[in-house]
Amino acid sequence: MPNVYNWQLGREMSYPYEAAFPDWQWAFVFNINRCIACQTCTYACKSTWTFSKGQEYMWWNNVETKPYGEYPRFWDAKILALLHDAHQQAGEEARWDTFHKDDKAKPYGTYEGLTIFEAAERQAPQKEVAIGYEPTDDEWAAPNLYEDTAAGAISHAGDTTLEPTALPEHKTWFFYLQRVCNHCNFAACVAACPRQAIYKRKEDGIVLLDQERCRGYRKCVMACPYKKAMYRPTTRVSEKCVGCYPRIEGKDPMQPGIPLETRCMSACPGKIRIQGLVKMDPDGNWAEDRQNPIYYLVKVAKVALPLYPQFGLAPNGYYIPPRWAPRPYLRQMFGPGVDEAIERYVAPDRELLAVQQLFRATQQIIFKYEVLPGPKVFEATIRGRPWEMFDDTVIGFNKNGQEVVRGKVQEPQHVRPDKHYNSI
Amino acid sequence: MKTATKRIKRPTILQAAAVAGLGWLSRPLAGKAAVQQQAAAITARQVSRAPTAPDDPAWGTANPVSIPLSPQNLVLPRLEEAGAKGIIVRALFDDEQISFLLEWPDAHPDQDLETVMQYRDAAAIQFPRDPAMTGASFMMGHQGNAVTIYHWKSDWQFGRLLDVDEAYPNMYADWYQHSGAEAGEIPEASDYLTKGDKAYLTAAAAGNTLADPLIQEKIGPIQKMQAQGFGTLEPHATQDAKGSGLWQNGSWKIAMSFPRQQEAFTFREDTPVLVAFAVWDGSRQERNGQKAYSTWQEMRLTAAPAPTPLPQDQERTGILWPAVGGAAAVAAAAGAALIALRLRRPRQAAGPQEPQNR
Repeated sequence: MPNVYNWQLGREMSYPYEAAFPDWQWAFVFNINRCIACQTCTYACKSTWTFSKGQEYMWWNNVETKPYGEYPRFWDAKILALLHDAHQQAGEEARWDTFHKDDKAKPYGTYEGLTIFEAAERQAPQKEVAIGYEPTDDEWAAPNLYEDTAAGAISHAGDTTLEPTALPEHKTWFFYLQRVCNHCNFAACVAACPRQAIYKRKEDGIVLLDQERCRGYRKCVMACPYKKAMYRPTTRVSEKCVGCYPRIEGKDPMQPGIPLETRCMSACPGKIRIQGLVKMDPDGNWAEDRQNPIYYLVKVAKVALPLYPQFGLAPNGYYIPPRWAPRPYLRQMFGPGVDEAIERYVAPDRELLAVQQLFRATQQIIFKYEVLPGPKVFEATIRGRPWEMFDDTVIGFNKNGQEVVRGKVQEPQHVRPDKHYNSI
Repeated sequence: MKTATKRIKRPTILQAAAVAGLGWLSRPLAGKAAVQQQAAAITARQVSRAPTAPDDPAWGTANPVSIPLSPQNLVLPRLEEAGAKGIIVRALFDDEQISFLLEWPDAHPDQDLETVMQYRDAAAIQFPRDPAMTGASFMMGHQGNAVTIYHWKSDWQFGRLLDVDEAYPNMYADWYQHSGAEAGEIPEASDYLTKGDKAYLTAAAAGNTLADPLIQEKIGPIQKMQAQGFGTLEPHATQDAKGSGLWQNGSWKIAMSFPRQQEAFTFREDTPVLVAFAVWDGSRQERNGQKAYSTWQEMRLTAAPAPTPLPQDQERTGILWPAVGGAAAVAAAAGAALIALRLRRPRQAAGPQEPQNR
């Protein structure tokens, strides 16, 4: 297999196709800390794309409660176990070299273990393009099982203090994981399709499954470790998240010609989501675009991390990890950048705090932002260090450079006069 | 003379046993043994009417040839062991049509694709689009040298309209918008095509024949296709196949009939054609390149009179399958073949045993 450079792993890796990258890449940042699992995103997607017969079990967007919730059930535990077994058989270890980092080429260090593609190559004989499995009907059937179920609740059941929920790591904990297709740089569905029915678009990196060419072999279902390709029994072929490409193309009649965020992103009441397009370099890394909010969050602030980067797909979904969850669990899920990301997030600098106000502030994709300084409005000590908050103003611009949103760090307040204190 | 008689008898008995061993045990040979079997050409006999049904008595007049199948393990995704080890092929033709009967053991018929892990049983016949252009790859042809494929799909015959409500009879949905069904009704996939909005049966709207039960009804269970290498399989512009499959007593019998006149050549007595076969076992989740397949087999058409038809259940080949095994059968058959060859040599060296032309 050819070698491609995966900057999330800080190294080259093998992939069935030569490296070829889009001009722009569809990408998103989810702030796990803010999510309340209202599933509005889930239903925004469902009511747009998957309400027809044969799509009942399909949730292109889902929100699951970690660590026990999975859709399909056990998806990440299963693929992690497969990868673990592959390492054992190959005599390899899935470790990261975090001593040697480079802001652009290896921001998280170097992953020295096997990806799902490399693990498949080590099989003798190799049977599939990537290691994987096909979930059963039962596993797809309960998309929100173990909702709000905490780990550690039983072991701390008799504990009457608040100690189990003390930061920095709760002993009794769960968090919500919001999942959509990652429109990966090195998509396993693309790699595994025997007839190239899945392709990555040159213009925006959205991965689409050609409904005419698909023959329902379900190799994509098997290979995608995130399990975001799904078989539709009424058409005998597979379907997957389309990245709301008509909205990205500016074809939504709501605002013709203007790229809009996907339905799941723009419906988020918790303001945990921001989605956009990042400029790509020919080498597959992101081109310098300092004032693009996604670029800033991932590459500059480094608060947002890829989901299971060790799988090797270079997913384009990035997560601000939950600040209360056990770090070993988070490092397994988001790689070695977790500690630094949480450190930055719990005591955000002025710019990070300002950019966070852009999340779900407009349906239009923000290509550029500016921050106008404001007065200091608050100070505190966070983890033993002084911290100040400024009421800065953040302005977001759309593709055409037009201002589409303007927000302040401090939300506008109005104090009702005493006379009307109890009025409704 | 006594000695000579012994020498004659002994090989004859053993040879018969060896032939029986080959016939009864190893007809569906696997793997390398496949090469040894390729010499047996398929002979299509002429009949007044080429049959289109798998249980047509006319098949009794056809010459059964056993074709070994191997698991496709050359390209990814690979298959280590296939469900089908071999097939018996019969071929008959008339003035217009050529018909094949493919028969292989399969313990379970798979024609339901309504849940995520179900795959269809299927079978295919492949031949070069233009036999005059030699060298088409038996693995789906190659660029510039296409192959024609007739592909029988169990679900197109038996399970065309089966989907989620057959898999889950207690399911309920408030309303399938754009299906043409009223609130509370469970539509069929075909309803989207006939009274709803086709766009919501997405693959069908995109023109994918696999997703369109109405097209399938029109075509029948055998779809004509073409390919020029891996991953290029596509429906043929002309759909001209007749036939059907029958699962009975643990075996599939598939009759496929199509015009002798193909776009680039005609199946004729003076033109041997290479044909290849493939079988998918849905229970084993075989699909795509994960299949049991044969290399090219030479096929000839002959107008020679056919023998008197035998009732099919009395045919020798009809009761072969319980003995079909894996490597053990192959080894036994190969061993029997070796014994036969060894014994044959001294017999031949001793000269003709029977008076000739006397």
